[in-house]
Amino acid sequence: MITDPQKYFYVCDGKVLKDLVDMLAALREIDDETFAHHVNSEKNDFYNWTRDVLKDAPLAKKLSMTIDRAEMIAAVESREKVVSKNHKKKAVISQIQEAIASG
Amino acid sequence: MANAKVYGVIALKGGVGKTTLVVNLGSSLARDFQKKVLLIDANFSTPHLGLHLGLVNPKHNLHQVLNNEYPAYEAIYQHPLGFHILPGSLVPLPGDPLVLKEKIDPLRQIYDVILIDSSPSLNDEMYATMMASDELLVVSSPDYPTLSSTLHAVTVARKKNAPIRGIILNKVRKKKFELTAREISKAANIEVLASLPDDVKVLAALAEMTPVVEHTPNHEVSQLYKKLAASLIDETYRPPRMFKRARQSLSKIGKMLSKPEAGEPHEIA
Ligand SMILES: Nc1ncnc2c1ncn2[C@@H]1O[C@H](COP(=O)(O)OP(=O)(O)OP(=O)(O)O)[C@@H](O)[C@H]1O
Ligand SMILES: [Mg+2]
Repeated sequence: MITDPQKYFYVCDGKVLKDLVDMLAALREIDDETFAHHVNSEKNDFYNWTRDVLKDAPLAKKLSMTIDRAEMIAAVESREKVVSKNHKKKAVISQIQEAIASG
Repeated sequence: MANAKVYGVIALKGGVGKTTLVVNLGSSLARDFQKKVLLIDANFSTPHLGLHLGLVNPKHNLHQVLNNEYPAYEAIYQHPLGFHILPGSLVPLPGDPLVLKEKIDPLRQIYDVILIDSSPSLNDEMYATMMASDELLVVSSPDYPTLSSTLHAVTVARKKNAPIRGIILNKVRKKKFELTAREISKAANIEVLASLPDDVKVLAALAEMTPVVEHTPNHEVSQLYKKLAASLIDETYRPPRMFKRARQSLSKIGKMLSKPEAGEPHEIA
């Protein structure tokens, strides 16, 4: 989750994105015009933001290879699953660590 | 004169692979590296080291040693693969585990490496192994309950000032859902020395009461046990070229071991 408002992704329809979950929702919801504003033959703002702000190299690599909306959604979806599983793992591990340290 | 390094193999969880690790490291250290090795069964409540090695119901055992019936060297057995075993009584006898260290310390003179198999229970049995060892190997596997037990064991060892050499990650299935060696190492703040696969060959070897490093020496799991054995004595294991390795005669290796004082070790019937 990005906390610095300067680094948020400001979608031209007014949406503000702070993490992968927001990005996935936006990619699914925005209209074609908005999508084309951010993703076209000149640039892919979602890719740039993933690489430079989220610093998620595996996803950035996938997004660098396509400007097709469905493919982008699929890539973000599968990455989001992995990331949220890892988060959950980390949370469980730190709960175990805390319990043992305090026991 | 040898001055043994004593490794205690621990885990606060049953069935993770402590005894399996002990027999395979012991066998490899004796066979591949010509070390004088003693395996000690300090799992006093469920002493099954002998059952991994064809020594079913040892008449002489560590329980009796704890009870001052005779000194430790009189309960030592010679395994055909060249290492020695100080087994427990198959039917456990009462005794104070905490005298383990004083009973086995004299044996350091005879061996290069002593491996102690331990109990998964957090009581004097485990403390006995912690106190008698120079370094501990903590056996774990890649799931939350075992991680929790591992962190617990590590915390107890640290409180007892027992140095930990590293974690051995066992029964790894290489599945995405498993905890990784990195995650476990980071959580415990201890190096993972080896990741050993869950391999049915290990069970096949147990059914033959033989270490898998002997039963199926060229299999991945065996090669990994051998590499780990090498790293414990600061050597490098070089896998033999297929078919080139001359089968060393078992009796010859047996003879390379110096005998414990006061007589011969017992033969395994
Ligand atoms: N890498 C492996 N792959 C497959 N099976 C294994 C592996 N390691 C151990 N096992 C099997 O798991 C079972 C338990 O192993 P082992 O007896 O070594 O565990 P333990 O930690 O000593 O248990 P206890 O706490 O009861 O003494 C045995 O059947 C053994 O053959
Ligand atoms: Mg055991």
